[in-house]
Amino acid sequence: MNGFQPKIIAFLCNWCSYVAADAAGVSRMTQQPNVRVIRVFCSGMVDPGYVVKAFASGADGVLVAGCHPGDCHYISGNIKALRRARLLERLLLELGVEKGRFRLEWIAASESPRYAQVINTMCDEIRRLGPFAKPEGSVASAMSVAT
Amino acid sequence: MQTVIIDPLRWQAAPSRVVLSTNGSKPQARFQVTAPRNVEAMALGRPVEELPRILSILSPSHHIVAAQALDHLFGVEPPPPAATMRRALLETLFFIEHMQKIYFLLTAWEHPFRDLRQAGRGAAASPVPSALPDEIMHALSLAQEGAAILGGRSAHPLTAIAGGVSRYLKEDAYPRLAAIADQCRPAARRVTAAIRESLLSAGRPLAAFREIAVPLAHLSLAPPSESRKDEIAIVRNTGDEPPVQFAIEEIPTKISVHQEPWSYQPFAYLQADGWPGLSSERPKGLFFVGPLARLNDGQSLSAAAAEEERLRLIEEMGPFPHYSVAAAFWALLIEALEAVERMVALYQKEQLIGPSIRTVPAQMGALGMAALESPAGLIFHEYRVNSHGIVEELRVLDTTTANNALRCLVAQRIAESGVELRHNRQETKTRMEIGLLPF
Amino acid sequence: MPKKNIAVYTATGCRTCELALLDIHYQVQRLHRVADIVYWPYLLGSQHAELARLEAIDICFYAGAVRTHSERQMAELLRAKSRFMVALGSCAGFGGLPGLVNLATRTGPPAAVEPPADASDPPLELAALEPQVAGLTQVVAVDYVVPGCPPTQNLVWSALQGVLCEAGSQAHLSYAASRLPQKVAQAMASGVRPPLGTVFAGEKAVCASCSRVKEQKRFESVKRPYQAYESTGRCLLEQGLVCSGIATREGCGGLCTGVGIPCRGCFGKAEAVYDPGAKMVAAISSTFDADKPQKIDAVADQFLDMVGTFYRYTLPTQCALLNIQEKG
Repeated sequence: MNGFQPKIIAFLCNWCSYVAADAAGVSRMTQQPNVRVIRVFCSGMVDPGYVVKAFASGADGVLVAGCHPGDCHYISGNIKALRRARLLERLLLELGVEKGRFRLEWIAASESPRYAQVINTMCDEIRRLGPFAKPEGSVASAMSVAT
Repeated sequence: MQTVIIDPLRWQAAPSRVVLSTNGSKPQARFQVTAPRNVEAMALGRPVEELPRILSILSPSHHIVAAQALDHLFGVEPPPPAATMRRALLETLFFIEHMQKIYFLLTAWEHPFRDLRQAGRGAAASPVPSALPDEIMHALSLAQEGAAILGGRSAHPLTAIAGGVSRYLKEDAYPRLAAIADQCRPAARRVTAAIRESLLSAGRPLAAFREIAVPLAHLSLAPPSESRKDEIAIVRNTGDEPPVQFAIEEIPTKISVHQEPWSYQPFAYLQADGWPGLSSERPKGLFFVGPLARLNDGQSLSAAAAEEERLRLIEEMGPFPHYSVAAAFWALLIEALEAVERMVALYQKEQLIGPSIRTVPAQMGALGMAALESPAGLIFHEYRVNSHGIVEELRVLDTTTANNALRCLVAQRIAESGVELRHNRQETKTRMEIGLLPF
Repeated sequence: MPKKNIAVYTATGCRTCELALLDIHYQVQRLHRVADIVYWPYLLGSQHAELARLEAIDICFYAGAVRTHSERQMAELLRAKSRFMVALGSCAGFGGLPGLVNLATRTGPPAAVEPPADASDPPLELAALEPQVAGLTQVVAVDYVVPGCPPTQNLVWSALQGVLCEAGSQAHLSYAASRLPQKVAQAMASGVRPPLGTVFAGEKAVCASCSRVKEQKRFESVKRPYQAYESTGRCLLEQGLVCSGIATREGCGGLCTGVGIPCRGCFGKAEAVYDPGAKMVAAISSTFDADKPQKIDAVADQFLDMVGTFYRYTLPTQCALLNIQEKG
């Protein structure tokens, strides 16, 4: 174990996943302590820019958790989140953010064990991936005179 | 050993310098390009349809040849109005780029920001009529407006796309184009006459550049003929050797590039002859492109004013082929006269409208290639793409690469003549810049 | 009133931005009455070695991205001598097309030809390449940016007038004033220098200037520009094309979309955008007409080379995850 402590930012929606997280804490379910929670009113309000900014600011992983499809308090906000997440995953891959660092999950208010499980699984995954490093100066001392 | 560095050179598209060293009496000049462009790195990994915009960083003509390479890749023919619109844009670029070089030439004698109120009042005698730079600027701005109408923008054009062009022109564009062509034509004639009389004729300042000549093989495109339905590339050698010709598709195998450690721009040469280096008297395998290369093919020109001017050159300097700097400047004027006649012919509404301006591709191809004669010379694009149309391999022959060897040799020739004539540093610098300008 | 000194220099790019200064046609003579161009290698033949001897420069227009070590040194020297430094064009402002080279070198450098050692010639060393292509803003403190590839005539002229503090005629100002933020236009009209850091362009996205009709943003499948689409009339994004206008600063007047070509963001990100790629993901994914995960995946899979498209002109400076550290 190399002592690396991942920093994970979790955007939790007020009506479902935040409630689950709260319940998980109150019920003293064992969770790794590497998550910083940001409460939002709907997973659909998480702009992809927030996710990118989190990684740019030093996060090693980002979780967006919303209500199950059909249960969104704002009807279809979580579907918007789903559309964004799929495209965002692909952009992040191109930018050098490995698969697994960004996740979108559906967690209902009553699913506090699932919340704890998602957190623990994600922390393990991020530990395995290691710290996220912006691909910096990865270049071209090889490129002296190129055609 | 003395070393003089001219850094940077005026008027050169690529950042470049000349390092002159005299070792005893034999001077050596090294023309170096001091920063790389490396468009290949910008284009690899991009969707192929983006290339007309990305590669226009090299010159506006690359936008057009990129669209032609896409036509080839997708196996589509642009409809006639689109082909005409692209052609009209290309002819306008000929006029613009040649006139820009003439304008630069004039700034050797006329400061571009001189106060017009002072002009002629006790100013040092300039061989150039003082109104000429502004007249050229005016004609340039008209032609640039024409290019912007046709291409969306005059520098970095936009509208040539796979299979055609992106849109019809607006109604009010047609009378405006006709007016532009009508004004550019007499301007081209006046400018040509003025330059010929004040700079090119015997005893005038550019006459001294008739001796700065580097005979090299030259490469140009020959149009289809009765015996041949496609364009081909022809290399005409100096001396009695027969010309070498090959199809455009063969260009990647016939022309290679060589890198030297002292220049960021590679050198093009003929694969069959191998890289000959720059030191031998008659370097076999080197070639040049451009207006002089085209005129050296010896064909008469269709536009009367251009043909007349070509005959004047022959009367003054002898028959083609020509290799001198003076002939290269004259070639710019001759081609500008030809281009402006084509602008008049192509800027016609009937030519630019039709039922369709775009043939939509049905499927992705694997290989796209095209070549055309840009104002500065022959250019060539080759793309290989994967099944998604992402560029995996790219090859671009631009005129900076094709004429790199010529510039090195011209710089050497000027350095030698400078020592012969005992020029001082400032004169050598100006002679060097003027000598390299028309290529 | 003494005339101001101007310097013009291009690093790595093309010559179009410099020619944009020259192409202000008859204005060139007007410019002459208020400014002296004391250093312009491309047009006047000024030598790099002369720069050290020059007295102070009032305004330096620096175009081109910083690619070689000597271009970096020139940027630092010009910055030291100049009262105001203007990044002219997208290459200087954001990195421009040369910035895409940073992507190529991430995935492996293009095959570099091994230069042979040539001992007989005198050494003619070229400036070394910087490890990554940078915009001017990442090498020195920059006071003003004139974006665009190339910048439009109106904005070039508005930058000249704005930084020279010469109140122009109403005709010259009206176009610029209609596009520039109000405080900038007012400053120019009063002959006062606009605030440092002004970008000579609008604040909103290109959509605000684009003449196309925007209706219902919904499309089922992605179109690539070589496929059939309405080249006039309807919004390109709505038709399923990737058009970066929604994340891009306005000021060009919707030049590309006006001729049926999707915007590729040469004016850099709009004021309110944090990262252009993230913004484009947000905009595009809002328009998918798909609810089920498989359908959404099928649409998302059609987007290729997102980084090369969304950060086409801005990779070194505005890509939050691939940029280089800014200075100043």
